[in-house]
Amino acid sequence: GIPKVKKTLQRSEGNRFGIGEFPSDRYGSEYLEEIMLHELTKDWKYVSPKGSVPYNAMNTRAIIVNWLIQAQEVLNQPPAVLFTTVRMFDSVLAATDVSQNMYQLLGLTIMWIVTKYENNNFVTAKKLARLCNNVYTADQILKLEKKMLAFFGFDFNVPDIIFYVNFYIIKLGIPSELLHIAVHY
Amino acid sequence: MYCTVDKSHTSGAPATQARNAKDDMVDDEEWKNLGVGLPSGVTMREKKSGALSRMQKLKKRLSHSFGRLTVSKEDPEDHVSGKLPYNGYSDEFLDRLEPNGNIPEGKADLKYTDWNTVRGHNNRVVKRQLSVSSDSKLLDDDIREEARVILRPRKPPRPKSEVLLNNPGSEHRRTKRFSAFGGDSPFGKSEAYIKLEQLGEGSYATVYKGYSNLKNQVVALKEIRLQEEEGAPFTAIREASLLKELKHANIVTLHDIVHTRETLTFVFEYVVLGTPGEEDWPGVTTLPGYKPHKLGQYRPRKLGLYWPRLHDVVQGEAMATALLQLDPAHRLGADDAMCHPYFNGLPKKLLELPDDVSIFSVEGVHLYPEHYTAIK
Repeated sequence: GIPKVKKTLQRSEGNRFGIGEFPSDRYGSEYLEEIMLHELTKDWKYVSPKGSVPYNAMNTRAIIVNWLIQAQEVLNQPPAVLFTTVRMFDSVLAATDVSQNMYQLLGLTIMWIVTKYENNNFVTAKKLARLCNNVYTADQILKLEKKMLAFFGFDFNVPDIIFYVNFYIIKLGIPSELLHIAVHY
Repeated sequence: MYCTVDKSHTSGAPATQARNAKDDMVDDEEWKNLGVGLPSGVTMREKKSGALSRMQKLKKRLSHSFGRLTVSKEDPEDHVSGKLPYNGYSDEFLDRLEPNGNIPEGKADLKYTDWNTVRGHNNRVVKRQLSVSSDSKLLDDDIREEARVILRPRKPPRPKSEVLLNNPGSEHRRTKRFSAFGGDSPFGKSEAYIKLEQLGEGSYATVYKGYSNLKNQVVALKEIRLQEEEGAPFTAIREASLLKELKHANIVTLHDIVHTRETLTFVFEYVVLGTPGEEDWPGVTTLPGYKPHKLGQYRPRKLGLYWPRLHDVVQGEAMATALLQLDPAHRLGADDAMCHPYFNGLPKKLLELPDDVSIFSVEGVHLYPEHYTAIK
């Protein structure tokens, strides 16, 4: 019911800028630079080369990305989720033919999986379908999820761009919380 | 990564194993061939052949089914089966589709009808198959044709123009598509594995001993039950994602993933440390979760027999054995572990460090990448 939703919203509030409980651990870590180096090794994972997304898909893609930005806000996800989603969305478009009326479902499903991978604050398939005005059924989302998991081989370990930004802010040595927020706006 | 002490300060010996996955991302040939493999751009392009033809078959198949169903007015049997499943919501369904747009106005009517028809048709197919067989059998050869239709239930046929537009790049694109969904790889299918006895049960998965027909070896099958609403559990997604990167002799290898309708099965390397019994853990049989009939009886063996590499490290096997004692009372605690002869090469200063001080503050302690190549 409603109270449950509210609770989820509250819990994830600190995550908006990617500096919530879990990610902040690594910034204080003595292994920060090691982590950074490791992230850099997978920097190009799922990045589609320029022009690999079909030209005739660009328009719809833009609409979907716009929609995903809203979805990210509604689902209260950190920006990393959005970036990873778009990155993986593009790599699907580049690799396979997707009919344009599947784009939204595809984007949504990928975002759902990434959300599950990134943090503990995710919704069920049914709720997700409801968020889309029930245009899609939960069953469709689950089916596409299965296909996407196979497509990506269960590998959702994609570097978080926000982590790079925060890393350089830390390296700048200006200890201001405001700077983090400023960068994200 | 491993941690060593600079030779200039003490007689250095390899010490703690603060391992980092980075250097262990060994290119595993096997995984590349799996189709479920690491999807780097290169790998995907390597796996060529046959996707467009598959797609064409699918299209042909779809158009066949349209053909059959559109003339179905004259065909009573198809008429009934085609109509029933979508009877209740076709109009509503049309309305819902509108917000997605993307379909040219002029052709909208035709397409929506087709789409719905196909959808109804598919629902029927799915139902029939589920009643006959488990989900894994969807991929059997005799019903593969039907499975193809099921795989893309809601996709309307692409306009001719679009097909033509895609043709120039088709050579390039087909190969990728082929690999994208696993192609004809034998991996990722439940037929490849035989489930033997149960090894253990956890809160979200059951582990079985299994046999891989593909590699002719004993494996461990971790069967995760899927929740209706949740899809693939987040724990499973994280576990698989991380294990994909961790290819290391001391970390259990994830060979394959089988995803069916009801379960998600991880195929692991088979390692048995022994079944806990009264002799090595007094009182274990009285614990609430202890169900001997569910556990196979395995004699514990020395760790070095499973991981020969432990013998390469001074005191390695002794340390690992002490840490992995079944009986909590005999298990080595963190404080005692620090005094274990395994750490003899480290400067004594490390032991006196306060809890919140990094070990790297001690002079001469550095992280070095460990160049590790072979997977056992």
